Amino acid sequence: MKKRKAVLEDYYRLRYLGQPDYCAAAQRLAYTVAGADRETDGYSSEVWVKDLGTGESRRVTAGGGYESSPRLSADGRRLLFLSDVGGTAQIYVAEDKKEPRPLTHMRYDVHGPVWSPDGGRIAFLCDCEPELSEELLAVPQSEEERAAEEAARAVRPVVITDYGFKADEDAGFTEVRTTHLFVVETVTGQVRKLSDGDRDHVMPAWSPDGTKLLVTSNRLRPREESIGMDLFLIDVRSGEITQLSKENWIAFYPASFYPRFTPDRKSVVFGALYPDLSGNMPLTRLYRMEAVPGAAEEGIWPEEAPCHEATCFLYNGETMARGYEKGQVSEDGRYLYFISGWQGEVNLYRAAVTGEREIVQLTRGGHYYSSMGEVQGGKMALLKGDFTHTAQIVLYDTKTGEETVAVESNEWLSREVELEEPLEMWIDTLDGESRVQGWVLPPMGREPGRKYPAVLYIHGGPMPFYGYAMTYEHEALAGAGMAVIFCNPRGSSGYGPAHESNKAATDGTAMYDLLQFVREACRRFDFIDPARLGVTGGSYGGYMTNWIASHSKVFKAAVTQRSVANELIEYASADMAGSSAGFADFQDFMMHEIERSPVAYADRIDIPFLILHALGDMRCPVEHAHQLFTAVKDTHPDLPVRMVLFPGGNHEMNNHGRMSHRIRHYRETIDWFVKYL
Amino acid sequence: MQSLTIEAMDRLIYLSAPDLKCDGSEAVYTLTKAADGGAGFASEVRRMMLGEEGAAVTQALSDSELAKYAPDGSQIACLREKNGVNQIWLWEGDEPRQLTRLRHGVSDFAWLSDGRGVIWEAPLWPEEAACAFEEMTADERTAWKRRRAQEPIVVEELIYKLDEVGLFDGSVHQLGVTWLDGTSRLLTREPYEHRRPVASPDGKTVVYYGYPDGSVHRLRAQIFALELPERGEPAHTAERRVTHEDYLVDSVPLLFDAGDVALTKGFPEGVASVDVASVDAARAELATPNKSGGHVIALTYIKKENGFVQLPQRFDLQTGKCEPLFAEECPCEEINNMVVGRNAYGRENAPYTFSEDGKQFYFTSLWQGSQRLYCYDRETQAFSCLAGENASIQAISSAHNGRLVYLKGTPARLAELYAGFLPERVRTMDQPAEILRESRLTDENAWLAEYRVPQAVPVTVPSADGKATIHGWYIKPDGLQEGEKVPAVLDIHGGPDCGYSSNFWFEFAYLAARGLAVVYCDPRGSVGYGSAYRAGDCAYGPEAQDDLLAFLDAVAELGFIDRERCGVTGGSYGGYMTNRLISTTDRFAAAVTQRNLCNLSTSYGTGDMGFVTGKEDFTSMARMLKERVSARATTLRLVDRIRTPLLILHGTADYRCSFEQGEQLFIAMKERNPEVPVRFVAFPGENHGLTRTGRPAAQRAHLKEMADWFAAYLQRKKEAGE
Repeated sequence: MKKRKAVLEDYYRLRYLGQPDYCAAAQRLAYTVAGADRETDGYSSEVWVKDLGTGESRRVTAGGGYESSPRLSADGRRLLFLSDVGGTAQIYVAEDKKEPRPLTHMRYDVHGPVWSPDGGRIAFLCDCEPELSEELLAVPQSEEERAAEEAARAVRPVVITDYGFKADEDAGFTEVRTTHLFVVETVTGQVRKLSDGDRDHVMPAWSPDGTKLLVTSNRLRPREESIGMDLFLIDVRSGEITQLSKENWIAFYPASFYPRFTPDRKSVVFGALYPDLSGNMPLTRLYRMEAVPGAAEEGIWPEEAPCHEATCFLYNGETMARGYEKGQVSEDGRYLYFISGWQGEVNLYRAAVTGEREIVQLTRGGHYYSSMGEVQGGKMALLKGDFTHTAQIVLYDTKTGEETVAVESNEWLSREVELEEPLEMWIDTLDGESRVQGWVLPPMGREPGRKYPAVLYIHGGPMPFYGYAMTYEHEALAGAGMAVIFCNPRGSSGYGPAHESNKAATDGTAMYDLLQFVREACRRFDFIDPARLGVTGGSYGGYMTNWIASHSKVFKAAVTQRSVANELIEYASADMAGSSAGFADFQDFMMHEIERSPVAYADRIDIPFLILHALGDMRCPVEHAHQLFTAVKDTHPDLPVRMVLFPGGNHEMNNHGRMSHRIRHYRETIDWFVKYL
Repeated sequence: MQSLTIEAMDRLIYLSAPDLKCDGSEAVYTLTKAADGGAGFASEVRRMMLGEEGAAVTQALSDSELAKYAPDGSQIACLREKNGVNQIWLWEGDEPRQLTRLRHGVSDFAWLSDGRGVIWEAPLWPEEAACAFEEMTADERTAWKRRRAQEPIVVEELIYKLDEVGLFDGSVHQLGVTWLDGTSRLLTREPYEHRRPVASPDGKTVVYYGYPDGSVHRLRAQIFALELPERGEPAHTAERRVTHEDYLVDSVPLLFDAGDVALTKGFPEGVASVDVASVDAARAELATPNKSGGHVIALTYIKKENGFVQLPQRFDLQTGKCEPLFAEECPCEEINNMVVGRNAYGRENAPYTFSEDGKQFYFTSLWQGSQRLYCYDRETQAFSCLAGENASIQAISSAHNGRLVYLKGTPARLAELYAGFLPERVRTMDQPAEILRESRLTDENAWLAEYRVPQAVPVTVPSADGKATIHGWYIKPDGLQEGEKVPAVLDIHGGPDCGYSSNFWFEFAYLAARGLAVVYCDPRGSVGYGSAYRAGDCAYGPEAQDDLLAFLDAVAELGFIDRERCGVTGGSYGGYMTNRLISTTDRFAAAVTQRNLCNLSTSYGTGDMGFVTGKEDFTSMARMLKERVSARATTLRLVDRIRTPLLILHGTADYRCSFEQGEQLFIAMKERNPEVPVRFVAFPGENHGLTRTGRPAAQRAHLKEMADWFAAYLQRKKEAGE
């Protein structure tokens, strides 16, 4: 069968595997299969269990449209999962092959469920208003109640007295709900709320004897420290909450690292934000401490390490379910396994928990891993994907290093679509201080000797990096007859602290890297027509697009997505508070911000310019788009300038929003470049 | 009598759109009040018989507004809501019947002069051209709205949003006609806006505002005309553009020159008097078509020495040329009804009308703090003021049979409907002002008598630089004791080119009920004191600020105000001025800034005004934005200086002063002045008109926040034992 080009419609067919959970005792693997639902314009998710002995897979369902977070009990006989069949996500438990029965009936969605070691309880999280009583929380709302509550919230005046009043997750004003920890008895269904106050409590982990829960919370932090969190211990029986760590900022945002007890229950290992002296985003490094309040928090990260941090900000990759486990401890307590990114690859590493500090790289190659499951019998289930394959579930043997594919995904893609493999390229930067890695995805079905337009696609962040992962939007651009150039300029992580410099991302250095990379790509690949280049990107990538479009003549068309145009708007209207520290006079700060705002140079943009933005974007508020559009159109009345505003979406809209809007978003970009290149 | 409560705000009854039957025997008006517990408003049309004994409401039509008599008075047409949109209904006798069936309803209409039908303006989507006359059921509309709410919005025009309507939704207003038997047809189809159609007296022509230009002139209206086709004619009539470069005040409808018909027809004697007997003859005369009424009056911006003023021009529909209607300078210098500080809701009537013989031109205008009714006699070229001293003539009907009806409010009482007998001939301004024999027809806000509403006392104060006289008022709070000193609130109006108008404003009455004195005035920059009073940029220079403080100080001299406990508030420009006062002085102990403007470098493009296309002094965006940072109106640059406890109130859907202005002020206050109390209240879905046309519940919450803030910082709480 002759293969065809990638088209945007394929997004409806893509299925995403996620949340693999391996049970060695029963030789079972639970996982989710999710994808876009054309009817609802949302997403559906199914829970599946595979018998690794027989190879047979079956779906486990309570009848809901979105079912996720499957966890097998230690003996593998029971499976817990979340199902929305009752209108909100609640915990269901299926024993062996029996029908799942509901366990919780909370007022709101629950998430993050974890079995206690003996299977007698399940800890879970629920976002709720701090003042709501446990009685009210333990009872579901009727449809009418929920609709009435939503209608009232839509018009109620919002009183703001502190930072943090907007949240991108809420696509608007921060919900007054905070995340709280609960525990439910699996036999009686009795629910108890274990946290109090009006702050968040996340990433619950059971002590091996089931008497305590380790939880991460910002309950003692001032609100301006929006990412500051500490470890706490909660005695499950008495409910007593004790602070465990206090020196470090536990890693939860921007990348979470799930803290764990060691198997001997004496210690806790966790990831914390390691301050970066060059002023960049803090790194996540690893620590261990005894599970005793006031104990020393010891770093276990060695001086020399084959990777830079214990997380990875892989920017691309068609995926949906975000893994909630980022580190796992070996059963003998000696190692902490984690995932890290380096030079585009995302691999498995292990750190020594005790004794001499050491980190060893376990895997290598042009691929990525994510969603690490618990180590059982020396094996762990993981997601693994690459440029031309969406993530599959593999079983990795920590003793032998062998991998077997447990569940495949989207086999139809390889059969039907002529996916292009990106061609890798490195350049030495002009200032001699670094090297930039990147790729060129050739246009699909290109004819020899012919030249094609190319689009520079700049990633957001600036901290994430492009890696060996599929980006279907790129494939669709290639399918439309354009090459895609993408790389990791200064500011990107995965190349060491100097390359990751946030300053270099915004002082022009990154722009040089990008322009140099494009020039070099034109030189090395003769199928690129240097007279027909376009530029695009989202968030920081949009900010760079704005900057490049107003400061270089290399490109003939631009599409800026959810971008930053005016730093003063970002200062106050984004959900991450800005700062004018360092300026004695506020007017000086304002002038400074304007000078480094791309919109101040919008009058120099004289190429067809498309602006895409979601109305509910709270990270880079839509006001950026309003001002940028006006500035370009006002100064160039005859230039093709177009803005498309997406209702109801937030900053993540084009990766996780309504599929019809995502496809429209991609289509606008592709059509713009087809028309003007 | 009790003290005014915040809940009482929902009892306010708003009258609007009065109309008078041609024989003067009946009137209709719209009545609006809060509904659904404050979630919205409900309107009804009331019909009132005017007899010798007095006036009596005989009928009411629910969910209706904007009622207009047919020219022969035989029936009434009005807008009535059905399935979420307004259609035109006819009201003849007891049974109203639906006349139009537009897919998305009708937004405005006018009678044809012979009463055979109505011309209307309706929003239509170009892609729905084929089903423009297919009504939707309630369910269909709900589904349609839900679909549209999820549609991405495409923007390619420089002007794509306006505070009053939000982001433009792709609809275009077209004009059409519906005859009394229900047959309808579209009259226009060009892809630009067509608004406020008016039919000529001879029935042949329809004039309206068209908006044919794009880019920065997209909102600039020009006069258009089209020939009304006969019933059977199939062809579309061409839309003819009459004016090209004029700057018209399109918030006011066009008015045919009644003098044309009268002058060319030889108007019978005696009709302009109150002799009812000759009305039938006059009616017949008016109904007979004549050769085309060739002139319309439009309010136009005219450049004068001190800036622009709004004056009526008489346009020749054939040539597009215009001449001033007024042969002499008008005593109030212009027709300007930019009034603020009053409770009003509903459609606004045209602020002008002719007498039936076209010899007199009646108009309302703000002058020295009152909204007055004037008369211009075209033969003697003399002006007189007929009504409105210390009051506000909010809306006037057309004049029939020697009388008209109008809405009049005072500082003590919201507008009620009045009937006034027009003097036969008007000579000069020397005549006493109140020569209109008036009688009050309605008593809708009688409930106000249950509450103590303190009096507003007018005061004039010389400006500090001696160059101007500032008019204003003060209100002493409820229960003020002899010799007592109370906190006061300086309430600054928006604009700046607006003015207070001697009308009722619940906000003042409520603040007074909370024990606060209210002080308010029209500083330089305000409207109603001549163009010299607002020349140049005195509103942003030292003049306006000095005037406000001079006025407050002068009132404080009267002895009942505690100078240490003064608060300041204002909305829009008034919010800017509030910001300015607290970042340049420490005079005030509390401030409430409403829908404020504080940073011009981010309001560009996020608000709906202030484009640079065509501006000759534009050099670069960087330079322009930096100039906007250091502009006087950018008070944010002085935020470090603020020591006054500050409450920020803002609607999230505000496209005039965008919501991010409130956010910036809040974050800057939190960061730079952490020890100064600051509070920010956002009103979801409310726009710049929040305090006038916002949902009643939002208006209540807004006012309560303001009063509570002043109570907290100006009125010391009584400690136990005090």
